[in-house]
Amino acid sequence: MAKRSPSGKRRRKPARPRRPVRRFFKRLLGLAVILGLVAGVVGVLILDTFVRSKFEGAKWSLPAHVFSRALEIYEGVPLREDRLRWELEQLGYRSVGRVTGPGQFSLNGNRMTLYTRRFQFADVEEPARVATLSFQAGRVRSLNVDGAPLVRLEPMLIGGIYPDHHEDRVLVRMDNVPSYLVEGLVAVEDQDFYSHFGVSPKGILRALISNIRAGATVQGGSTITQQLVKNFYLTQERSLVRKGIEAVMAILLELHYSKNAILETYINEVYLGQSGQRAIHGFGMASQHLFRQPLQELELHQIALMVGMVKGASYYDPWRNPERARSRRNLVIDVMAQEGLITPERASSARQRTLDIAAQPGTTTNPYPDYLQLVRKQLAEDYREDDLKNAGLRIFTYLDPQVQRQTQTSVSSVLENLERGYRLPAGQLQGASLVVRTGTAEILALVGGRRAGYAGFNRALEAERQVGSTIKPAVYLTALSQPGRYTLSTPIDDAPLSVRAGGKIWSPQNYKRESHGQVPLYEALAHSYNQATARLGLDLGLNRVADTIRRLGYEGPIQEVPSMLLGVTAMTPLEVATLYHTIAAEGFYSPLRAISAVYTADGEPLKRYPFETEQRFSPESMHLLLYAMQSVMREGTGKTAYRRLAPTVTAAGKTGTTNDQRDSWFSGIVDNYVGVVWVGRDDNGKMPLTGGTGALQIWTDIMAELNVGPLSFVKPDGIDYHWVEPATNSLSREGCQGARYLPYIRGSEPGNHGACYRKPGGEVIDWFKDLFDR
Amino acid sequence: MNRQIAFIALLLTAMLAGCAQVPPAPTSTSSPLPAPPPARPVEEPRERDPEMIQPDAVEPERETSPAAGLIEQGWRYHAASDYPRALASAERAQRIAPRDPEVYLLMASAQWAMARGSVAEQLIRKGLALSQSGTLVHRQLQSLLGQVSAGR
Repeated sequence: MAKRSPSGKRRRKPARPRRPVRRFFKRLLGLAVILGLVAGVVGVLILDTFVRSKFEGAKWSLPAHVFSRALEIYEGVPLREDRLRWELEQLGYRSVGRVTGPGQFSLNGNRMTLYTRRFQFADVEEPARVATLSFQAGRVRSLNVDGAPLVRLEPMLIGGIYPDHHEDRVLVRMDNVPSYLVEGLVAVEDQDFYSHFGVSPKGILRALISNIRAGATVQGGSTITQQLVKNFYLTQERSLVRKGIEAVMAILLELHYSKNAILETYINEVYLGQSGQRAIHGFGMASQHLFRQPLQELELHQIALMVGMVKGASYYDPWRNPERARSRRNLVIDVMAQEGLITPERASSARQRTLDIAAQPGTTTNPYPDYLQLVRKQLAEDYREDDLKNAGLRIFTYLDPQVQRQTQTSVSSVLENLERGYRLPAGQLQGASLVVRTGTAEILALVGGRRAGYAGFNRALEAERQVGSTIKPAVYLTALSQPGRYTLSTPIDDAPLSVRAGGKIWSPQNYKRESHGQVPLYEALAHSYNQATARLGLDLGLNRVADTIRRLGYEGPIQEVPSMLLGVTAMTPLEVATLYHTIAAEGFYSPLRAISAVYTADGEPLKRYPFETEQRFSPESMHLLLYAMQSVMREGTGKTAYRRLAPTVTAAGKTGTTNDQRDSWFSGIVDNYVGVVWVGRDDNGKMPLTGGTGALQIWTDIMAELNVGPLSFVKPDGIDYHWVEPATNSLSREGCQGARYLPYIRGSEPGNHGACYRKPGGEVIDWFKDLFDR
Repeated sequence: MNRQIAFIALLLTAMLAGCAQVPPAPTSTSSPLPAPPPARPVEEPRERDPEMIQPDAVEPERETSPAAGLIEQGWRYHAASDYPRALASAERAQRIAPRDPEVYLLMASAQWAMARGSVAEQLIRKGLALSQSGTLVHRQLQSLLGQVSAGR
């Protein structure tokens, strides 16, 4: 027995030190609880702020999406049935037996019935309409569309400028989401979505039982709200703390926002695939990616596939794992049927359908990288890189996918043929080309190399190469702008010459090293005589010719040396296209345009790039130059083009070859197109090609395949045509030997009369003609 | 000989008939812009110029040509002072009929209304270069050029 202490105090003494400790711990615990609570409250408040600020602000960095031109269809437009069908397929139109809704077409012989989609354009909202059209000889022969003379298809998505994280999405609003998608998602992902408060204990329990039964994780317990929190706010890290934070945030989200707002964000956030570096997010973009169709057009079996892919976009990728994707889709259909969302018959019919996905992903990152490079270059003048990558701009361009496709095909295939024909190593030749619409200055196509879809060195924009005889029209235009001195029939001496320039003697020679004596001016251009052109240019003055080149639109440096007259200046194909467009537009310069308008993500117009022009030359002098350039095509260095072009087609152009045949150029005007082609080697090596045997062959292939029509050069008021004898530069008459009908700026026609000019006893038609010629 | 006389007489008759159909000159207006036509301006018969280089086979424009419809639509926007849309319609028409001077009349009027005188002036010059002197559109362009020149 323990010895009793003499006093109670003494006995209690040993307990004394324990009291303050206990009290201390109690207090500590209390403090800890209080601190914990405060920290918890602060934490929740921080999370709350975080949840709200991100949900209410700009939720995503949205890429800029770039669109092509919109195809206009009207009677007479050059448009082959196969090309229209290709464009419709690119736009995700479905070929059906009988059209019943937007995004469908049916073919019956050479007749097509087309149900267009609604689209808000800059000028008007185009409603969805049914159009019936027929084709003949590569053109639309008839069009019937509610009595309207034309119908317009929506532009094609041709690429984007992506945020650094490469997420791509098209936002959709709940009003535009098909009900099957909403119902299917809820049925498969979160059946209690409309009743829980962000976290579903029932759902967790159900998942737990399923997983225990299966012996593996077969079902997740996360609600749609939790999934959204995980994807939208948090990382993919798996830990209990993160799971707790996720639950709190889910509850906070539910506290502040409606179920519809949460579901809409989920529908736009969820990851649904990968295309190279680009991550496909949201059902709006996934619909374009998988089916090339807008979300609203999708059918039950397509929606079910996308809902199924939420569980694992890569695992259920329908291109890589079609069978797996199909069974997952069918499972979703079954769940929808079990939940009574669809009838068993509907489910059965949907299960029978194929996956119905596009042959290839409907949205590759940038199918036309060369053109997009130009678009970015032009956008950089008005927008910050950050806005382009994140602000969700909608950029409308002039790219014509059909012309672009043809130009790329022609560059690639003709270069291959040339290499085969000339026994050159495969891949040695390179090429670049642009096609511009005459008058509007819209760049319809741009090819920067022979490899399609490859974003490498863009020769159309960056390759500065000597232009050779491509520059000659500038020399002749300078001359023809002085009608008192030069006309098309003015004789030019094509004789050898030597000029001292920069301490060296410059002695240009003709390609065939022959001289031709006195030749009419138009003939000197048609046959691209170097000696005649050099003499003409020197007579005019180098500064005047340089001034003409600048007025045609060239803004780079020009060394005013004699060799400038034969194209020693280096230019890019884009710069050459600018020059030739001014010629094609009869003396009106316009900056070449790739972008028509930029809209905000909400569809508000931000900036338009309207057509602007500036008269730099008289229509009369341009008319004379175009005549001479037609001679190039009919009888000069460009005449092989008519092996492919119909004789009724009027073309004007100019070949260009540089020293040692290192560059082969052709620039030509036909119908409503200006086309420029360059062929050469990246190492600037020699080739066995001239402008006529190289670049012209590509140009001809492009234009022949585009089914060009006749170009109507209209005679300006100040131009008169006369029958002349070019050899003597004297007036002649129709039917006389060697007589040619040439245009002259009024008053500049030859003053002397040839021997055949007037015969006694002329016919009535001569008298009548004379009456009006006086 | 008689056949030749008959031929000339027939041509002269046709020419006189053509003159009689020339629409009246536009009435002068104190407005800074030419009044937008209520509908498409009267289409003047455009004879094919026999002296055009390489006569081609372009069919004459029909009354309901797509470009004409778009120009009409553009003038409606213009009348409602919606100039960006008027320009958008004009550019659509330009793509279909780049040589139609009415396209440039509409563009120039819209640009002038947006106080872009120098742009308007160049568009007028383009329209004048494409139109034949004496035609209604030529006179309208000249009238607008006068206003633009005076207003700058």
